[in-house]
Amino acid sequence: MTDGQDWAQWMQRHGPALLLYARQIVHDPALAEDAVQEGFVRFWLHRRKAPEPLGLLYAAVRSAALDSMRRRQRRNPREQAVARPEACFDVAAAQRESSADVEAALAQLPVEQREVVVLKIWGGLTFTQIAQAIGESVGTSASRYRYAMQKLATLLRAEVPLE
Amino acid sequence: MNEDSFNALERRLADLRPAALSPDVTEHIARRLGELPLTWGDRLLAGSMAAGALAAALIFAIILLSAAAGDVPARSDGAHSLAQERIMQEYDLLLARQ
Repeated sequence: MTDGQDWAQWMQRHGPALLLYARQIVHDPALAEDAVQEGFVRFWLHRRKAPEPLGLLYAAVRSAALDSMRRRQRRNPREQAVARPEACFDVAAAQRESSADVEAALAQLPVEQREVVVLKIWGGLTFTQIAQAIGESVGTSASRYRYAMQKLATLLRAEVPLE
Repeated sequence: MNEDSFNALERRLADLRPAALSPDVTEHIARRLGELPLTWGDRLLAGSMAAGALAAALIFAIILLSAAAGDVPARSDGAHSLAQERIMQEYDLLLARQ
């Protein structure tokens, strides 16, 4: 398999989760796409050096998203999180309400917890890979996930009862 | 929060599919990966291959020149010895005249 086919398969498999992850940091969908693009190219250049390529991929996108957010805040310090005009999830009409609830609940979590949830649930990363991606220990990653899930359960139960 | 409700929440979240990237992102990545400069490893490899090819061409050229020069060794050796002989004769004449 050539590298050309290889990177396209990586993008096809991880692209949507990477975008969702970047959007937890930069909020603006266009900036999040830029961060995915920048992070993926950085990752692709260094992928052979990493024992856990998936962790490195998310770490690269995280770094690009943080760079993008810092640049934006330097240009306009008053500008903080902006409204999310596009949905984060690709859902059928029947799920639309549920996905809006989940987006709203996620938005109420601190960014550190939000990113761990996205990495675990939609990125499919192990706690070891999550630790590599966010630059924290495995224990910290796991406890953030636990706290985040407890908060999400409370928030979502308040809005829509769990089945 | 017990394990069952924890797992149920995980499943509920996992049922939602993140929105797809726009095709522009993939196009930009393709363009950037196509335009990326060579890494130092690639440059070293390309340099080594070029140096090897140059050395091989040089050796081949030397072999060809040697083979071509090998057609006339007797003539050049003979000319050389004739000239030497002539010098020696002139030297003998000079000595005899003195």
